[in-house]
This record gives sequence, C-alpha cells and structure tokens, in this order.
Amino acid sequence: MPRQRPPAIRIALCLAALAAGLLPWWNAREMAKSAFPGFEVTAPSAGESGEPAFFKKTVVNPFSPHKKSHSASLVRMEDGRMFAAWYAGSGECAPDVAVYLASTDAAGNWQAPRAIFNREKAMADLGRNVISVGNALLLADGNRLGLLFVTVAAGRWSGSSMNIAWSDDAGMTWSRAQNLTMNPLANLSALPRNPASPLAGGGWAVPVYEEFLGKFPEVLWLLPRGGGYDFAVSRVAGGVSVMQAALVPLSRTDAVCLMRDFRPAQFMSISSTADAGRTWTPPQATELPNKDSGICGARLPDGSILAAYNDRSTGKRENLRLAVSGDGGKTWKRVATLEEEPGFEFSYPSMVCDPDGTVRMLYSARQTQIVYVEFNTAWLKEQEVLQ
Amino acid sequence: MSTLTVFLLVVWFFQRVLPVRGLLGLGVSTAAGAAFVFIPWLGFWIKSLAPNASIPMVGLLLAAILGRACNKSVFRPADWKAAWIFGAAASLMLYPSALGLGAFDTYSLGWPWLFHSVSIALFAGVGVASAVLLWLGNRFGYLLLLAGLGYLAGFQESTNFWDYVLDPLFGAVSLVALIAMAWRSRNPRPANPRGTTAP
Repeated sequence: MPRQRPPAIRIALCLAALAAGLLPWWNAREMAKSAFPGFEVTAPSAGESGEPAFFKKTVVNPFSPHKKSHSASLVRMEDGRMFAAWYAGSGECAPDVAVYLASTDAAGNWQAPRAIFNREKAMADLGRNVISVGNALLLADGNRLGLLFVTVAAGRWSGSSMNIAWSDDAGMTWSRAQNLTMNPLANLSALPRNPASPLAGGGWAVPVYEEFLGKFPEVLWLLPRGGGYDFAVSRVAGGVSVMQAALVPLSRTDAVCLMRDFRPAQFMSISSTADAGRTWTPPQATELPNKDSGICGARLPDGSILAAYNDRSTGKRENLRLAVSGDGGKTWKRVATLEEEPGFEFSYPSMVCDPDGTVRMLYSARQTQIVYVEFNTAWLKEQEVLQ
Repeated sequence: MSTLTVFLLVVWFFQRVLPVRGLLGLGVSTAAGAAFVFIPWLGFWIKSLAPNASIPMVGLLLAAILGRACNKSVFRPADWKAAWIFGAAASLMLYPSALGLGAFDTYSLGWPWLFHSVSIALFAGVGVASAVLLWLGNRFGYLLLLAGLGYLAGFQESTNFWDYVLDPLFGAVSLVALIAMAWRSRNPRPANPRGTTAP
C-alpha cells in the first residue's frame, strides 16, 4: 500500500492536476469563438461583365533547365500582381529540388523565376533532416506573401511534413521557415496542393492531404492570432480513398471539396459542408471520370462551380478539361478542353477566380512546363457552345 | 524534448547491457548517451522523426534509470501499471484515427479552440485521471500533471495537447507491456524453488 501524503497536500495536488488539465481548455474559449468562422465569398452576380471573350496562355518557366517542374500554386495580391510557386529539379523527392517563385510585372508579364527554398535552406531553418522539398502553396495576406511547402525527411511523400514562411518584400527574402505539427505520428505526411480559401475575419482554410498509410483529405485552418497565425487541422474524410481536395466555398457556410479518387470507380469525388467546414458529407463519386489525377475547382461569379480535371475517357492525363456544375456539384457539363495531346501529360491544375469572372489557372505540361492560362466567363460560354 | 528522450533511451539501454551497476553504471551509461546525442547529424534526424516526445515518456525513462542506478524503485508496480493502461488507452484513441480510421480525427481535439465543446473530454479526461492517480498516491499522476503544465508553458514545438501526453514510443511500449502483463497473469511463473527473488 503506497504511503499516503497528508490530506491537504493530496487535495492541493489534485486541484493542480485538474487545473493543469482544464486551464488550457478554459483559456481557449475566446479563440474557440473564431473557429470555423465561415468562408469569405463575394455575392453571386449574373457574371455578365460585358467584356468580350478572351483567353490567354503563357509558359511561366520557358527556359527551365529542370527535368521536372510540377505542382504549381497561384495567388493574386491586392495590388494586382500575381505570384506562382512550384517545385522543380531532377525528379520527385530528389535532393536538387527547390521551390521556385515567379511574379508578374506591371504589364502582367511573367518574370524569370528564382529558387526560394532548397533543402539546404530548409535544413538550416528547421534544424531537421531534409532530403528534398516539394509541393508549395502560396497565401496572399494583403501584400504579404505566405508560403506553405513540404519538406521530405525520409523516403518519399509519405515522409513529408508541412512548413510555413512569410515574405514582406514580394518574395525577395523569407522569414525562417517554421514546421507545423499536423499529426501525432512523427508529424509525417502532410501536403498542400490546391489553393487556400480566405476566411471571414482573416486567415485561410487550406485543403491538405495525408498519404502515409491512409490517404485522405483534411483542412488546415490558419487563423489570425496575436499578430501571427494559429493553426489546427480537421478532417474531411478518412480512409484510403480520396485526396488532394479542391475547396470551393459557395457561401459563408456552404462549400464543396472536389477530390482526386484512386478507388476502382475512378470518378472525381465530392464532399460538402453546410456548417463552414466543421463537418463534411461522405465523399460521393461525381459523373466526371478521373483516373487518380489532380483536379481543381473554383466558384464562378454566378455561383456555379468550375472544375478542371483530367478526363480519363481519353487516357490518364492526356487532356485537361473544364466542366461546370450549376447545382452545387450534383450534375456536371463539360464546357471546354484546355489541352489534348495523345502521349503527353497535362496535370495538376490550380485555379482561382476573380470577382469579375476572370479565371486564372496554372498547370504542368509534361511535368516540365508551368503553363498559365487566363480566360473569362464569356470565353467559357463560347466554348460551351462549341462542345 | 525528443533529444532528451533519445539520450535517456541510450542511457537506459547501456545501463542494462553494461556489466557495471549502480552509480558507476549510471555514469558510464550517461557518458555513452551524451556521446550518442552529440553525433552531429543525429539531432537533425531525431527532430525529423521524433519531433515531439511526450513528458510522461521522459518521466518513465528517468524513473527506470534512477531506480536501477540507486537500486530502489522510483516507480512501484502500480505506478507502472497506471502508465501502461493510460498509454495503451490513449494510443487506441489516437493513432488509428490519426492514420485515417473514421471521418473524425481525434488528434483535432488536442487543439482546444477548434472543437471546443468536444475537446473538453480530452482535457478533462487527462486532468481527472491525473487527479485520481495523485489522490490514490500513484506516481504516474505526477507525470500527467507535468504534461498539463508543460502544455500550458508551450514546452514543445507542437501546439497540440496530445503530443504532451503521448508519443508513438510511449504508446507502443504501453501496449506491449499491457499484453505482457495479461499474458503473465494467465500463465503465472512457477514458484522459485530456491525461494529467492529473480534478478
């Protein structure tokens, strides 16, 4: 029988234990009021700006010496400049891979890209082993630029973890990268892919995914707190089924996630939320055939959803098509084909839509070129007629 | 914290394999542990693969090392049993979910502001477990108390409460220890014919 301490000491210890357990929870009550604050969306409009149809296509990295340039991300700053980030090197998870950044000038032309994070800089910043860097995602906080990027500690993508860094001078210099602990198993296997959705009151909902034993989509919540950002992660769906969600807010509380599906059915999947991302419906296959390939989506000014995806009806990634849904993702209509070339690969589209209906998209061509396309809803309607 | 855990693991290991015991054994093991963690690249690997070692795991290792060095139990059997039960139960609640089982990730509860009304179950659960153990005089309660205080102080890189009370090593050791205890209770050893205690 253990020797008992005097009752007063035991009571004090018990109270201390209860306080140590409950105080963090009690202290979080103010912050809790800002959890799931709702998505920042512009009110739906007719989408007819009267602007003539236009379509523009450029290569962001025309002189890239790298064998592989992939997984591009795009943001538009308050001043209208655009920034693109992607990873490039000799191959996935290779030691020479770096995260590259390019921006547009005043005339909207893409400037020469430059490496902003490589494995040496990441190791120095993080004090961790890094064999490679990978997927990068840009955030626009006014005219401050944020970068979420992956470092691989061991193996391949399943050995990755997520980091964040900030730049106040348009990407010329970056803060020390900070690792985000997003899961309890050695904090491995968290990756970003599709654009972050701004939240009401500031911050972002960032669709991320895990691919360790399970492969599933999550949301990284970045909320402003004390001059910086606090973060937490919640799940969209579990299991080994879908990943790389494209988060498309439809209203302050409603949103859908369009997801890459690697189950045998091979159709783009969709989940929806009606409570600002707190809970999600189980993933359902849509009618769009997609063979385990990256997809993206955006809300058009009229409230419909635009998706870009590889249509597996003509091969795995040999085309890049656009489809529109006017009923929240229940039914879809193919409206345009951006690329189609047998034997080639067009993949990992990433797009944003301006309030005026201008759609801006990046994707990888042959996993060597980062292609930028820009079009408006008038062009989409023209294509729809041609389909 | 993770470097400290690896250091203590090496000390614990050498204490068991070296022929010298007591304080001399502790000194030699400590030197081995210190030499190990000062390997230049090792710190990078530790931080990469074990970024957030839990406070109870550090406490349990310290208890084992000091107990062996002083030839006196710092933790009694009931204290160890409480540690293994807590570690195993918490592991079963956390890790299958973290690996993708189910539509809700129990790891999310470790950020108290996200699912605030639900996460009280985790925070109160650890607080009450710690209080009950301390009331009963169980020393594992101190480690849970320290874990709570460590979280309040923001001791680790992680901002998630789970990482202060549990880590994969603690979870795995707890599960193995509990299984071993259950097996031993079903298959008790025959009485020692010489009447002495096994070393």
